[in-house]
Amino acid sequence: MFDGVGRRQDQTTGQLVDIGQHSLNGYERNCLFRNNGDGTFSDTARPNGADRVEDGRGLSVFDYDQDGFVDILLRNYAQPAQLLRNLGGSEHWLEIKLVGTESNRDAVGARLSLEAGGRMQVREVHAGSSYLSASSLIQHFGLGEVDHVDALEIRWPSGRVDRLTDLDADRQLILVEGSDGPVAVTSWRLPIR
Amino acid sequence: MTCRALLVVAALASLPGCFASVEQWEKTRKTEIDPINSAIHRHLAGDIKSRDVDTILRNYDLEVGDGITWSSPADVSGDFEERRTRWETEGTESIRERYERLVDLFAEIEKAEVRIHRIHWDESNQDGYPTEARFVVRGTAPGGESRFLEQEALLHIDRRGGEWVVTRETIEAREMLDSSRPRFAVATAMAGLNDVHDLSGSPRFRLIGEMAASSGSAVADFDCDGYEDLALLSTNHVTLYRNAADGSFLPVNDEVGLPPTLPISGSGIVFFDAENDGDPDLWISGLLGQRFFLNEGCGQFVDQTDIVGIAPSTWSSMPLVADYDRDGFLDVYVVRMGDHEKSAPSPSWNARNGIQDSLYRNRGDGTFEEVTEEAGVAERGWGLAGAWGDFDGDGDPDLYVGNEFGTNALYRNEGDGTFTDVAEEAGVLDRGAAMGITWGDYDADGRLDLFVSNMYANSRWAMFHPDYPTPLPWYLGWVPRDVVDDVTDELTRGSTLLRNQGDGTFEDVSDTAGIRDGQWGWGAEFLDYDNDGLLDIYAVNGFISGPLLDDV
Repeated sequence: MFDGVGRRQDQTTGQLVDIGQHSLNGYERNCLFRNNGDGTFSDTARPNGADRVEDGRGLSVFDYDQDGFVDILLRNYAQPAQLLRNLGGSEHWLEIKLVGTESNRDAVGARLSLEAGGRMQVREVHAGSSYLSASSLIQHFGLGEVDHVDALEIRWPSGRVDRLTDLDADRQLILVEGSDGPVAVTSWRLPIR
Repeated sequence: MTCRALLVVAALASLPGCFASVEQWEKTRKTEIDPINSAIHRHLAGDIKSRDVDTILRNYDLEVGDGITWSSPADVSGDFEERRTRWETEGTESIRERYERLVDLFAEIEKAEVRIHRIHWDESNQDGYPTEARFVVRGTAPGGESRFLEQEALLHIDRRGGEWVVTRETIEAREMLDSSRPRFAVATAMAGLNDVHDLSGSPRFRLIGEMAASSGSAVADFDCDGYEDLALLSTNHVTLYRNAADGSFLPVNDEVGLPPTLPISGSGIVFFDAENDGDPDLWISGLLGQRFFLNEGCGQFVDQTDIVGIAPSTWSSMPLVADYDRDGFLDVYVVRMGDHEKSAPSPSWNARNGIQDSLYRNRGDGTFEEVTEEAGVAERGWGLAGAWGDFDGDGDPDLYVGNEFGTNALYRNEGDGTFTDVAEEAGVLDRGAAMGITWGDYDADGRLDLFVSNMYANSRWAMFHPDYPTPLPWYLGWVPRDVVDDVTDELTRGSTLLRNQGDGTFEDVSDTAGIRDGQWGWGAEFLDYDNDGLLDIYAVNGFISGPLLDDV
């Protein structure tokens, strides 16, 4: 039998019993831990429509509609994948795609330090994390009410450091290692609003 | 892909007769565990969902509760968009009023949970067992907002008149979050995505008969048109979706040369530019093998697994990409579990009999060589996840490996092609059943912190019962029960946030941060969903949702 809280072996065969029709930590709701900025987090998944019930496994974070607000793709177990589109808000943002020349072309391992509105933010480019998944290599910075970036420093895997100053927000920049500034600026959006 | 809780039973199954307490436990289960589970998790929670106060009160043998009351709610929203309300005034109030106020906050309750965190079995008194519990209520406010209420409570529960009821209730914390403007909307249908994770072809996991392989997802602009595309992995195939730049995605396997089936029981997936030619290549790890597809010109994938020199392997969880030797070419570390068909993790509390992980060095000439042994990363835990991150800020990538069975490893890159496992001295062994890893500087001090997604077992409270058979083999029968309980607690208490202190060590801030109970956690990722400049965490969960809704 399979009942109660613990899992039991079949008394005759000694085998562990299939979970069968039952659930085991099933129907749980995904968490969105909002950083409160004081060392604590609040789970805001429910009020934000993000408390999906599927048996989650992998996920990829990326801004598929290029509106400056990151979206979430959910790879669930034995259930349909789900795409959570971030509806966005009035906050500003900057997205950076790095292209390595001396370094690996994807710039995996590059560290970005951004200064805006008197605050510092740090990102590192990672390929493969979470569970079984990989998120976008494009680095996304939320800027709140600040629409201007004072400085952006890139420490490339090669060891080279590039520093850019005075960047306008709300756009995606492509930065090539060793260049003086962004070689391509894209601020277009997809026509799906 | 199961939990240590199951392993406990596996240990029992393999050593019949070694535990005099098994029969006693069966008795205890019938008289205490099952009835408490039923009364608190099922009935009390279900009755709260019904919003019928008289029905709810049948779960109480108590008129008046204490702790936090409904008096003087404080708006602690700060600058955030979500409204956050906290109650802090202590006093006494009738249980009836307590629930009348609660149900009035909701026009509809979609889900109510009473999660027993711990029952202090050895501290029973005239009111019964002291019980730490968390109440979680999700629903819709009378004004239409999405609403989320959380309470931490110290209860006492006792059997009265044949039923388990609450005999004392002290609310220790209460918060509520709501928003009239949800940030996220499900866009799956709008995006044209219809991709059910297909389990066919997966080996079955011995510890739990119905369990098959899980699979992941990856993103990259594989056709080089400026829009990020998508790959969704199933056990027996992978589907690539092109971002059509109009909000939708189109399956393009035929166009990009990927086969309709991929018989490797695919689990982990990543895009990366292996040859630095400007288009992302594709590496897929699976339980029955691995595949490397070279992208030959923005969207033409060619299987080059054999050409690049990836030897046959089994039980791979996921590939992790970084240029560990900083030669300008991306290398791949593959995390592996153990053979779930033929073996079981051993010893159960710190398994080292998994299949060895691999580090594949990119030679830069279109081939890879395995350098696992010489690099010193011959990891043998039963691994599910991991991530590269330069935790010591010295410019080269270090590696954290999350083992479901076995403590986790932090391989510090020594800068000379070798690594040293510093997990113990860094304080990041984390005994929990790791199922998701991500690095991010959440406190904006310039140092990478670590989020480890672990299992929070719903059944954990029962494992501390003195009659619960110890998972230890008979020859360790002398280990004191409280030591066993401490380990059980570490194994089942949920996710971990480890703050990088900048001196090579990490501080476990999970409790302060309030991220411990992510339920049965799997993948998790840092992200800034509200563009406020602070890194948030999205964490998915849930093990198996069967047709019978009741959690066993």
